[in-house]
Amino acid sequence: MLEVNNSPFNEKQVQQLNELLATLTTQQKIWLTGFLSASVASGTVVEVPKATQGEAAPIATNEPVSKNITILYGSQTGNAQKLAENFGEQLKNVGFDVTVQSMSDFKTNGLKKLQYLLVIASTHGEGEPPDNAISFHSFLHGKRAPKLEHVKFAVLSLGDSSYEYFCQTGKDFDAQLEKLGAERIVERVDCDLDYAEPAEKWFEAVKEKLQGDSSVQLSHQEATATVLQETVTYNRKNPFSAEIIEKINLNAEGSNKETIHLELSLENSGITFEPGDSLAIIPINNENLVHSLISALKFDATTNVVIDGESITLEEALTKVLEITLLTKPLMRKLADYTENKEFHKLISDEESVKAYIFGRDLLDVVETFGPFKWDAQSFVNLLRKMPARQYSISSSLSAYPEEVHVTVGVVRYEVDERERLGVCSTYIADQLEVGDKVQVYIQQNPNFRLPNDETPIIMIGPGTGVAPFRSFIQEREERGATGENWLFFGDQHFVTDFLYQKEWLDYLKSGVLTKMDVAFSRDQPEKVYVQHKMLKRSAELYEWLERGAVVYVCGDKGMAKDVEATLLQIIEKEGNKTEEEAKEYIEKLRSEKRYQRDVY
Amino acid sequence: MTKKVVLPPQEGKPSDVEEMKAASNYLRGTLEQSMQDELTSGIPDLDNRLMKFHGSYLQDDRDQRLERERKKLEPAYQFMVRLRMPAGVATSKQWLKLDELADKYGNGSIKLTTRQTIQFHGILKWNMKKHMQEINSVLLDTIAACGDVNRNVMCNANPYQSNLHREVSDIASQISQHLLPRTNAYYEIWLDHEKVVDTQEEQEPIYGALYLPRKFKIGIAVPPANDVDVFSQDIGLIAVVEKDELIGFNVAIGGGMGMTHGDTKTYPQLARVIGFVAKEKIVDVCEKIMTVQRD
Repeated sequence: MLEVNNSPFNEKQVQQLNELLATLTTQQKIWLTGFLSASVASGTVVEVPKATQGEAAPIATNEPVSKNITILYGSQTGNAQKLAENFGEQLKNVGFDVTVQSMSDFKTNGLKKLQYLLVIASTHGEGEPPDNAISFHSFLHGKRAPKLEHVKFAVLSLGDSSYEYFCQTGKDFDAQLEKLGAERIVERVDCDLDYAEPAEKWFEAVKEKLQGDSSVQLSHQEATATVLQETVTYNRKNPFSAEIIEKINLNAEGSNKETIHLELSLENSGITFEPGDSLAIIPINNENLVHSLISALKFDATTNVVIDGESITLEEALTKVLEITLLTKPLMRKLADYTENKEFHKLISDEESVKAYIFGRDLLDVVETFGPFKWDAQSFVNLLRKMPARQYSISSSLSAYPEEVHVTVGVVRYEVDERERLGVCSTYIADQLEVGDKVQVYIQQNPNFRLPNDETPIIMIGPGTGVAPFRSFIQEREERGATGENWLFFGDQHFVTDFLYQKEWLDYLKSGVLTKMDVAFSRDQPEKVYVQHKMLKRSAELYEWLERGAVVYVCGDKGMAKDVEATLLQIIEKEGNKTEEEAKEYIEKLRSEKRYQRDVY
Repeated sequence: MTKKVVLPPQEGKPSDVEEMKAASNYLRGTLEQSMQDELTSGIPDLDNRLMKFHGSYLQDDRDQRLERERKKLEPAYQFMVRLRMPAGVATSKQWLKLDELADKYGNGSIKLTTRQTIQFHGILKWNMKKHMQEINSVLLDTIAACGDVNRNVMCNANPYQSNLHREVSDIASQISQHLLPRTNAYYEIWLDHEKVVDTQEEQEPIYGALYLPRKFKIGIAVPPANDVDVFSQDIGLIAVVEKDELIGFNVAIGGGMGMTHGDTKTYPQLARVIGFVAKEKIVDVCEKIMTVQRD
């Protein structure tokens, strides 16, 4: 494998080269070697792009000094980062002076020098900024935020419309920049899960504005194609069909939980990933649910509908293409156009009651309860959005298990209104798939959840399925012979039935790869005990690790992550003799040094 | 004069069990730490051997072994806990407590053993201390219920049958009490007594640091009944009565003699009567016979 530190290439090049090299046959490699040597020998130097970040190439000499465009991203899963880097690259190619930075890396005293600011921000959880945007977000909203009348800006927000506070962080930035006096050059665009197309349109508009703006210096270079370049071969539209080679329910009999350990073969795909990345799995809706829905709709399953210009049967559309299990407020409003049912209109007129209703319910509930609806199969499917892929933190390391990827899936089943509800993807895996079956997958990179160098100690906090990436981390560190210490906090309901990967952890402790482990089983005693309680118990030692430069990782449920953060603050206050304010600064510093990374869902 | 037979010394070095006992600091070993380790419900093998002296050992549910292995879980470890109950006597209050504990910490079963005591199964590691403490709360304990020591002393089941039966039952308790290990380890580990820093030999005046090579069994029969199968014991005592009064015991020795299966040098013997001992000296005689096995 090529790496930045063992080759003359930058990070992006290394990634692209590694991806490409993995797919090449020996013949192709030999050919390429010859081709490259020949080109160099004949003087046709194969151009090597310069390192991009923060570098601005002066392009035109006979015109006024070019002006600055700063692209700041706040990214949790890496999508916003990828867009920012891609757009930055394109703007550079047409001659702009561009800086692309994570918000956490941006120094706020640079605000005064900003000219053009492009913000690309995702939203996390209940309208919260992603981790690397938190400090910049709160700075802009705080008392110390300067006037920004000299700044021209545009905001692109990424989000998921199934959440109530859809794209909230982008909206926050958009409103706050205006409030601080900055001038908006292009209206904000809020992107849903399929973000590529709207993001591209927003960018085109921005680019047009920048190029049309006489105050901006353009080069003579021709604009290159501005098509989004996918860095991975496999994606949502072109997933890899991976064979299941192992499937185990990790919980023992008597557990309230069902956690599937799934091993997939990546043979011949050339797919690579790093510890911390996620695997996106494209599920298929439950057959019984589809049939119940079609019969409640009184449609014919074999009716043809057109989706993306392609004609397929209604049954196939509802099974494979569209999401039918999740209700969102926007969807509820669209549904309202097709019924005169008074109860339904009453329901959606009240924010709180509609919120309470959609929680845990699905389309079948609405169709069964609030008819009659005036629609046909086509207008019905037009209301639905595409089935989003579900993302699972990868629980294996490629170096430990070459050409394999493992995930750890918590199976979701619950009952509402006396009907059992099934998590779409988790029960698809648990109930429909067996070893030997194939499943559609692609890699979702997570650049904000990465191992540090091999010497740095790490503290991993991952209860439940949150432990998944840490299995990958530990495997990777063992393979690399990393010397940094590793401390794992794990928790679940019961020791006897729910200690995920117990034997592996015990082996890692024995061999010394895992330095320390603390566990919390919430329901093994009258009082509930969670990971944060175990952290408090180890307060002094935990702080000592922090002071020694340890990186803290938190993965799992967002409620847990909140409690863990509060506990971290408490520990820093107590052990570091700090005020609450100082403890917060300490955490912010950890965050900006990438020593506090979270993967929270 | 009878000829004195000197047994040849055992060949080879002491067994690893003896090394383990010697290193255990009178049955402490690393038991306390192992019991506190939250990452496994088991304990290391060496500690498990010591555990026997405390009346318990680790088992696992064999039926679940393969399935748990596949699920990347350790075996379903649990502890067996056996009481020391000389003559098999429990008061009604004690019995009710045992009944409660069987459900509270055990798997719901109470097993009556062939040596007149009771054992629980399915106790999880995290419940062991509480279980032991509650047993002690009704003045029962589990000391020396397993391991290489004098085991539960047996005799007639019903002390209320006659004054004679009551007296014999009391003697069974005295023998049991006298031959108990004296180490404080049990009280430190299970009952939170303060640690006694004392490594002198005096800690175990009868057993010494290595305890016995194997288990040791004593049973008392009151004729005409032979309910304890008196000739199968290491020491079998047969009550001798004159004018309705217990005067002493005919002493038989033999028994399992620490037989090891497959080792032909070891074999059980039906006990043989070697003489009469007055009741006042019987506790001392039992001690002396036991020390022969020890040596």
